[in-house]
Amino acid sequence: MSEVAIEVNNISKLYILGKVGTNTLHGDLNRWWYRVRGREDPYTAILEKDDRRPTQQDFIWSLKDISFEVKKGASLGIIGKNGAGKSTLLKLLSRITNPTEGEIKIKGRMVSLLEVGTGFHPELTGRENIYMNGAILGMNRKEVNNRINEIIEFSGVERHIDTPVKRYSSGMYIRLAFSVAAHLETEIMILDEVLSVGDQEFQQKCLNKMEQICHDEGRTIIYVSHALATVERMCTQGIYLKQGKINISGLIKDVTKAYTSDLKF
Amino acid sequence: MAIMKDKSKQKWSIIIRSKSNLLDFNLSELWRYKDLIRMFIIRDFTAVYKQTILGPIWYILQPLLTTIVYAVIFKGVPQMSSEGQPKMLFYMSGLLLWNYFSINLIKNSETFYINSGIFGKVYFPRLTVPIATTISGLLALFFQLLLLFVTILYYVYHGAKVQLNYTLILFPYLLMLVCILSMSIGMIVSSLTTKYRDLKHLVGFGIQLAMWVTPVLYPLSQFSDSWLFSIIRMNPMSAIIETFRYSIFGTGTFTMYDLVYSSIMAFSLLIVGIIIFNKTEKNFIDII
Repeated sequence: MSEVAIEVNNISKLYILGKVGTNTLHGDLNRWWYRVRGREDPYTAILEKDDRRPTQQDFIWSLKDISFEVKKGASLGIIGKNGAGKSTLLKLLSRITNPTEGEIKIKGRMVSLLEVGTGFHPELTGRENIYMNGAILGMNRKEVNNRINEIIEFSGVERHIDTPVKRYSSGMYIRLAFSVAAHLETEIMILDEVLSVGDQEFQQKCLNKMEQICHDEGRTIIYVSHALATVERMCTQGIYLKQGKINISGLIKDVTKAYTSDLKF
Repeated sequence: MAIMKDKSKQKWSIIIRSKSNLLDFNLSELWRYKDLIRMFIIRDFTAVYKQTILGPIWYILQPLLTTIVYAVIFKGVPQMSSEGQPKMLFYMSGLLLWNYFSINLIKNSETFYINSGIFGKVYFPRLTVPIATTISGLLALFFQLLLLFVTILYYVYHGAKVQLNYTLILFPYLLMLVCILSMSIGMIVSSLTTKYRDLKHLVGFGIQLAMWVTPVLYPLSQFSDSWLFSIIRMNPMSAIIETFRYSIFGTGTFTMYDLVYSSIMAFSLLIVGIIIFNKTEKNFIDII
């Protein structure tokens, strides 16, 4: 039971504000030449020593030395203010970008939903888009075939399923997209506030579905949101990120309490 | 406890590190996503046809008209050899392969730029995109080859000396080389343009110029005693087009040496392409 599903070891992510690289090709070449010779990169070294000194370049450690682990079957909620590094952490976990330092180990199949309906093509029909979206999220044709009736039924767009999605209303579009996401069969799921979709009725339906997914046995969830009530309902563990560092981690109740008291002043 | 930890250590399915092995192509993962490649191909195909009246005929019209234009223009230039073959046939055979090459190269060179939206939201092996692009382009080529076949029949009926020969069995291999070359160069350009966009402008322009150092509208033999000869031979596409023509007409330059050279170029570029592409895909979303 206490098997570890995700292990995060000292990950950090460095971002450079403003322009790409060192602003000039000359700077980039210079930097590259330093690296080739195995010397320390002068452009990052400045920051390491003193990050208050105004430099020509602005470097930001979006995340710094984050470590945690998630047990199999657990659900972890990540909260924090805007710019605390939540999205960066999600991006690293979902392999969209690589950490600057550290490593992440994952056991089992993982799917991350940072957005619903990724890869939907307006010219394809609803049905084709289910296959398209499913494939992008790592399902093969057989797996989609197994669930397709459920997906269509849940979305409530049966009548329009063979119409190109460009003719859909935005509500129908979102419902279909969410429906595909909710019926993925993976051991680990990463969710980023995808719940706030559709009208009130569908929202409730989504929440119930998500809760069901979270409490599913053996499924590991990482969930990021600003809606504390939802996080508390869905997760057992929590992490409060503050300025790229873990402020507190533990039981979700304690974490949300720390977060709300922090907000007060 | 310690034993349990050791046991579980061996079973990680994904390990994300800041640095990774350059030669780790992860082909097994690519294979798991074969359904995605298929869906990309279906998407590309449908997107082209939906709401058109002529559908696949557009694939044929474009090379047909280009060929006619060249044939009309170069009719007045007697120095332009076509090795005794009807100009229409001669140009068409070269243009089909060259057009596929240039279109596929340009499409692939936009991989990161065009797909940055999807790439920023979900992970899948990025190599699926260039592979799907390359395959869906073949579909158009297939229709165009039918056109070429019909044109050949027409000219044979009117007495042209077309000599289809045994080298025609090389065609699938030639096609594979064209695919690999265009995909690889496209991927390299695509990776380099994530940071400096300049190259994007150079590519469209460069590929137009490159056609003139490829025996598309003239045979290689035209320049056999010119300094241009070695430059044209250095172009890996030259041997491919010359061999293709040889297998249809029985005329032209067909040497094993040149073909082997093209193959070596293609496979080396493929390896370099995948390495650069894989390296770029890790972090490009931060800089694009």
